Amino acid sequence: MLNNDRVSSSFRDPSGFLFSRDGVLYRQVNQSYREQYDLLMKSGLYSSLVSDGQLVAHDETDAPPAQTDTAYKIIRPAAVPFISYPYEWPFSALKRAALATLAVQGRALEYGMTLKDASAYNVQFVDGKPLFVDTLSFEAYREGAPWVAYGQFCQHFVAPLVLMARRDVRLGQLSRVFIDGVPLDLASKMLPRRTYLSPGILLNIHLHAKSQARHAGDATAGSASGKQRRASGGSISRRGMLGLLDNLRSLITKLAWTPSGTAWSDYYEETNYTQDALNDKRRWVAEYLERVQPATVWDLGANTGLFSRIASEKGILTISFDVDPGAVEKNYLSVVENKERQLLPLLLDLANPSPAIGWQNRERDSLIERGPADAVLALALIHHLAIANNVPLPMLADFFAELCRSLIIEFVPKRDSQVRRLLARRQDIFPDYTQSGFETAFRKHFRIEDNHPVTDSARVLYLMRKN
Amino acid sequence: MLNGLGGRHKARKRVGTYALLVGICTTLFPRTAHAYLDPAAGSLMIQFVAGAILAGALTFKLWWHRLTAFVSRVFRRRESDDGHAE
Repeated sequence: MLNNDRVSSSFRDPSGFLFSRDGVLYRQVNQSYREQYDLLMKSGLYSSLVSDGQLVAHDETDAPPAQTDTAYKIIRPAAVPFISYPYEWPFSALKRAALATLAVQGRALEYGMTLKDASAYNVQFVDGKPLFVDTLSFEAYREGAPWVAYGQFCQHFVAPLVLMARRDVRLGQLSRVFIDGVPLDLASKMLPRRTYLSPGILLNIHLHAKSQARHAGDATAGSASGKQRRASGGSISRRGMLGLLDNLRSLITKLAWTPSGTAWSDYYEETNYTQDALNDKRRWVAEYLERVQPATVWDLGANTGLFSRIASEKGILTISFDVDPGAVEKNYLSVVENKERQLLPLLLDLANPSPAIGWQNRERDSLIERGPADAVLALALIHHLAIANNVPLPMLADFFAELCRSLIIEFVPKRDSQVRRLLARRQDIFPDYTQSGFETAFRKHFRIEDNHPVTDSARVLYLMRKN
Repeated sequence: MLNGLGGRHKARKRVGTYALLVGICTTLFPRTAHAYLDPAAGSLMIQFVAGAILAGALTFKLWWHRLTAFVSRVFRRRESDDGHAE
């Protein structure tokens, strides 16, 4: 009896679905997609995209299908080591994912195919670069036919990017609420009036939203489009399609957001750490990582990734989480500039981490479901959670125990200047926030293997292993 | 010099594209909004309407790039000839 576990997010497209068996991820290609799959493989499009690192590679296997009556082929895609979501990506990562999707569509047209699906969830970051991961998103292109994924592309990419660049970068979080992308009428309402003066935004957001409203009463997309196509001349030429892609590419390329004034992006410049303390902490974090030998590290509260890079430069896949969009953006721009392959900076509020969302709460995994990591770094973090967010130490220990197998954590006592600053304007209601209280709370889940008082500071670094 | 020309042209092109899009907006889209949204139909329709303009804009852009590349080649050649003469 084969133990097939269908991936819960893979149900919308009748072309096939993902399933895992014995820890290996497979994709079933259904008979209904046979012609399109063969065209993808035989036209040269697949080889072209894979050789340029734009599409996930796969092997055709002899593995038994998960659903025999509909199966055409079973393929095994190359593994994506960590799944991340658009609402976790910094501005420039979402922008690169958008441009990568347009590049895939452009290449598909060259080979007589087109993307029928342009969801942001079809892009993942692998080796520091965006990668299109849905092999079954291609179909034959017919001259005159519109881009069926255009609306989806605008909702998943253009609307959040324009809102982030032209209104407020925090609006990227709308993608977490609207799993099918930000509604264009909402984006249009939220954008400043002056965006009507940008031809790209005018067309792809404002007029697009009006067109959606105008044709909302049409019975179905298919019949309405047929009727309307006849009424309007009914087609978009290949040159028009290329013009649309060029217009989108040009709009997205020009969108910019410069992080400044957010809470943490200047942290290292402003902090009161001495150079000796920083060096000592770096040395001991490296030492503890050597002892643990993790395959994956999650650096929580990573800021711009100073300590994440101790792990990633050892070749360890490191996810660098922070709550501040400016810090994550700076971190990501460094990844791009230095072509770092093992570091992925993501936006995350630990007080409200990414939840499981979508159909049956199973389409997109929560943060905890994507773990546990081999090791978590929690440096200069615990006082923010325990004091700024009032999370009791035992609950913090429970949380970390769900996230990791080993924990490298820094205890920041009340006499530390950063904690004094947090307590300056509020009542100290944290009698248990002491080093012994911290150790007691964490011993419930972890064995304290080592600790090291950080030079020139009141802080103590711990290496803990899960019981 | 070339940059100045490019900048003025860009501004003219932008105004032209904008005028065309506003034209589409005022003639084809009524101001009333509907409560129910069907993204597919509206997203297809706007492509039919804007397709010709986008095709024209792309053609213009490609020709413009060719023209500026040609002019800059000519100027570069002339400058290099002047350099040799000195």
